[in-house]
Amino acid sequence: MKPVLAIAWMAVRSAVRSRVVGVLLGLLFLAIIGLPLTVKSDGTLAGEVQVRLTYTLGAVLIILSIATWWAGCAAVSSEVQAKQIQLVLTKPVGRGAVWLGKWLGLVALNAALLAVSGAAIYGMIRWKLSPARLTEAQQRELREQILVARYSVAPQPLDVTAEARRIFAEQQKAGAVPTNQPVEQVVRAIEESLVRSAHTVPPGYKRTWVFELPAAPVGEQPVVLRYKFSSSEVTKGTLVRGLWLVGPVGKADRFELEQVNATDGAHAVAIPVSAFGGSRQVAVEYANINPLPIAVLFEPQGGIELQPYAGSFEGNLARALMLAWVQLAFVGAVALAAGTLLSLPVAALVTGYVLLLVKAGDYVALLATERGTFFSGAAQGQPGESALDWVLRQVLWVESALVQPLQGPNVLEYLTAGRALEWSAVAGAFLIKVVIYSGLCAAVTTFLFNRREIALPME
Amino acid sequence: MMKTVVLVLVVLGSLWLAGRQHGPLLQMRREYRLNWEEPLENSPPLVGFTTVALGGFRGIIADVLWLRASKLQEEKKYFELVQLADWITKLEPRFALVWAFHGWNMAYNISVLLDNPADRWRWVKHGFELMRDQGLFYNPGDPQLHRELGWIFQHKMGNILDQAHLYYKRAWAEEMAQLFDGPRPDYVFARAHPDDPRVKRMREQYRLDPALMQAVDAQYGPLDWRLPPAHAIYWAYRGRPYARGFDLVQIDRMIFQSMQDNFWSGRLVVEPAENIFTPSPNPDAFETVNRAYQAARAAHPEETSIQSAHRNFLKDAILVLYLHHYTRQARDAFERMREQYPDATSARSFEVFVRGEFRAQVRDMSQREALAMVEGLLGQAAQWLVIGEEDRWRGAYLAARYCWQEYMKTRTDPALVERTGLPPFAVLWQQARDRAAARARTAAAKARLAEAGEAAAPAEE
Repeated sequence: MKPVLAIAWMAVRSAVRSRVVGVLLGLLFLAIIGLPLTVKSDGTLAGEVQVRLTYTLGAVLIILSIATWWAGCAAVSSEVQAKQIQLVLTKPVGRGAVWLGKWLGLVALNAALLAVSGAAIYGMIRWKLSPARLTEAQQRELREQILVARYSVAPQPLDVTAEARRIFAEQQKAGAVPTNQPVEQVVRAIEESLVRSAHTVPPGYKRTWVFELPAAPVGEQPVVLRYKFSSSEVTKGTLVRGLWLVGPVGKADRFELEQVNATDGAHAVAIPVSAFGGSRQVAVEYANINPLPIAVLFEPQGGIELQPYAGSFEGNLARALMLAWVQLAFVGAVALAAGTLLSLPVAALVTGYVLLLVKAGDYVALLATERGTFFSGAAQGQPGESALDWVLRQVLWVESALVQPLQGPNVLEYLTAGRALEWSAVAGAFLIKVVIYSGLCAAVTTFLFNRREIALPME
Repeated sequence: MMKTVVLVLVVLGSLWLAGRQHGPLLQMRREYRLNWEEPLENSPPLVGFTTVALGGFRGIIADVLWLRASKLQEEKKYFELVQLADWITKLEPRFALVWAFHGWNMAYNISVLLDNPADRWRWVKHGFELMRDQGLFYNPGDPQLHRELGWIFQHKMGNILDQAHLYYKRAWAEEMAQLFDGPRPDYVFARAHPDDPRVKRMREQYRLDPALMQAVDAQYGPLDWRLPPAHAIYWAYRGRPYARGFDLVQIDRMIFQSMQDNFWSGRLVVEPAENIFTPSPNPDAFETVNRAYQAARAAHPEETSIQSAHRNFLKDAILVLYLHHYTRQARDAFERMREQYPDATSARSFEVFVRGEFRAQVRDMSQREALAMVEGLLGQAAQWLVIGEEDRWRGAYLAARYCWQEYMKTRTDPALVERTGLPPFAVLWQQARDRAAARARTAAAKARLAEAGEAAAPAEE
């Protein structure tokens, strides 16, 4: 382990000596202090804080990602090109240790820079929150809306399988099911229709959703009910009057709140903790009391959610920085692996491709499941897919299977929306990106590096 | 060495000469109308840098930013959109449609998704400020951008389609009240004191040129500059010299439509103590609206839509004029309508036409028509009171009451009442009597007006 740490220390020292750290720190501070002076928000206090957080932390992550990408690619390849690597490899140090040392150096440097950046961003937020700048009410508003960590709890899913099968059987019996459609597709369509109906509130009607919270709400922080809906009124922004009733399941005494909301907008209301009566199981009911007959349609996915308090903003920011650090460690591992085996320009391109693939993971997964996307033009589920299409789909399927585990919460979106980044997410990301994927990079690279001739006469 | 020095001097001299040509070239571009846009001068260094240094890549960057803006908007995350719109437009500063799109998107698409009128107003402002303060700076000669800006005043703020339209009108009137007292600035003062803080603010923050406002007022007014129609006319007027072809038709259409709005709701009734803020009919504007229509007809004889609009305006205006006791003007308008548009009515006389229109309109009135009718009838009632015609004032009063009740009885939803409702009847009656009292000369007439208010007996009938 000693040689590894020695190489890591040398990597950090050389970065400091070569003024890389100085330049990076300068850029980071420019982003953290300069950007908030130039960016425009929507004119609200919450919007201003969200924009500052998004742009400063976003800029920090971009700068560090690019620096890690470049430094990782150059760490070994430039030494090979300058023939300096021989000085290290002729010593009793394994090539795996060299790789690991360089990676740990990068990781340590990123940790230090992220910590400094995080502290600066937090200092900026604290400065913004100071009593000289904001009233107590404004501070409380920010602490409740943005500078907080909240769980996002969806309503318990509806089980419509049996009902869909029953309707399907009835329709099949009546000869109403098209014979050229796969059975599963028809049943799925019926299920979707049932779920949509369950999220529709006709004029004068009520709908109830049941939520299972992670814990019974306590303390002073209210629970936020977020919802969005469309309506049978086609005009965008039509105002609809509704009544929310919230309380423990099975209790008649419930918290009531009348709201007039714009169709197609995103809405949030604060529900006091007392409304939950110390219960984890909560019933949320919406009564459509609009005087004009307008039906309200909540989106089945994400149309309604409860957001109980999960923790402080400080803890969330710390977890966001850890997730960012884990991501940078992964970028460093890929870049270093490419730089160890290839020349600097090729390594940079390969790393860029891999990172792009990871970023577009959802799109790759979609392409892998759709038939006839490339050449044959046959629709999904239809015969006529060409062999070339099939091969390409298998390649995409493998790529998708490799990059899917690397998908995780969007740190910036979670942080600026006040959504909790949980410890389990941090641990999961660490396990996948650092232990498994970076470990794989280390193993494969060491294996190939050990077989690579370094001091060839032509080089 | 000598050769190098000579070459450097030649290069520097050529650059100087080229620079000297810049001004005359721009002037010739303006004179010969090589394009409709004014040449851009003194643009901020950052915009100069992005438009020149990024070259073709700025299109790609603009696309990426545009995709992000669309995604955020779909996800109802609006806090970044002002910044993204700023960057996108700055990357393509001479592409006027981009400014128009983003301004319109904020004023229309985003504002309506918010519940609170104050939040909606903020986005409407973001929209027109983007076009007015920056879009027109980079595209001072773009008629379409002028029209889009005017459209926000004419339609978004001036019309009654948005639930929060009264909030917009009130907020705008409050802003204007900080710039001048009463319905319009003191133009003489504004010209004599260009450095006065209010005049300066009007010019620099609101881009309102007092000289131009005066010209607009002289040609199309008198206008109440606290209300949106005046500003729609102003921006259309500013864009008119650059417009050609169909752009010119649209600009002209905006002018006479806004003037028509000025006729329907160009007089502001404000009672801060009663929290009353109502833009109400302005019968004095009839002649100028009619003149504008005549001018537009003469300028665009091939546009039949202008003729139809003029005919409809005359038809509606006759009743409003009559109800506001502008009987002579109403008769004139009727004669003009029969002369210019013989197929507009089959009524044989003015009286028959007015009775028919009244019956038809009471059945199916818009908010502004209802207000015009109620106000007009109450104005008449007050006038009859002034001259002591007991039966007539009671008749006009009861007709007004009937209209108010007919209109309001279908409006039970509080949101609908807020958006399209009429002010309380008692307030309208009080204002009609106040206006009549201000004109009344005799103490007896004033006493009759006061007694009618105190007795309020007809209101209960």
